[in-house]
Amino acid sequence: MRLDTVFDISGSALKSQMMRMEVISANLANINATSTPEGGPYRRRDVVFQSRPLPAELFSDHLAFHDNRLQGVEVNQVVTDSSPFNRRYEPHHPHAGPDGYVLYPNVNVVVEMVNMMGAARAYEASMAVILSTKSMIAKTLEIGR
Amino acid sequence: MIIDYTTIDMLTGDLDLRVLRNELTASNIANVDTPGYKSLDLEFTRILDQAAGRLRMMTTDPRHLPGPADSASGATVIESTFPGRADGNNVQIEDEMLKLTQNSIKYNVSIQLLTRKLNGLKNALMDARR
Repeated sequence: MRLDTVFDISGSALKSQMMRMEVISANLANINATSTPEGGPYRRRDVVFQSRPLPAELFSDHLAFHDNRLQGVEVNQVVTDSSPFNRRYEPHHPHAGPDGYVLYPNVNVVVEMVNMMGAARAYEASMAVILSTKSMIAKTLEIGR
Repeated sequence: MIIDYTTIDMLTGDLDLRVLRNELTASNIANVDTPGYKSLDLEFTRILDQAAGRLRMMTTDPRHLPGPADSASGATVIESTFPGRADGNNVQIEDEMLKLTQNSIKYNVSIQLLTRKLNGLKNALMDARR
């Protein structure tokens, strides 16, 4: 029975989208963090997705059409956004430069909210696949009843 | 022919294909945000042609049993040619969700037909025992 391959594929999508959600929440949490342990304001982070072929033993080679193209997904890397920081004139702020400007993180709330919705929808879609497959498996057990 | 295995073989072949199509759809939905990923689907026409050929199998003697219908092989996984987005990904999530539902329904149809076929055989066997 190969129906459970779907759980590997969709499970990898759930994990990846959840990781994306974690990065988005870190971005939003640090939206006003003007200093970080590594120095300077917080830099926005973003995930990079990559397809991941499933382990070979999951494939049944007696079916000729099964040509190893089923792909799960994984977060390949988390990159930092090198776009310029936001500048605000706040001369009394402890992190203000000599010109009176404070560098704020390059996080844009609108961008993060849109990404968050994307992640949530993608998560729901993979969840729908899992539920649909679950009902297919349940039906299979009814054969011959 | 005592027991008609052709129907059972065809239905199980169909179930195999539905399972594969379900996997391909899961793969497409999992990679909805992966740059460069191309949507995959099964090419069904060729399989249907093969099934039709199988039904017209030649026998030279009325007592010949029909050979076992081979499971639906030779189906090809095809990449969608839809232009898609700027990042090279061409998964259309609406299409995939539709495919998922449609595939699940057709899977249930095959399961029901298979169950009825088996119930028919069971009834025949039970009546003989009386």
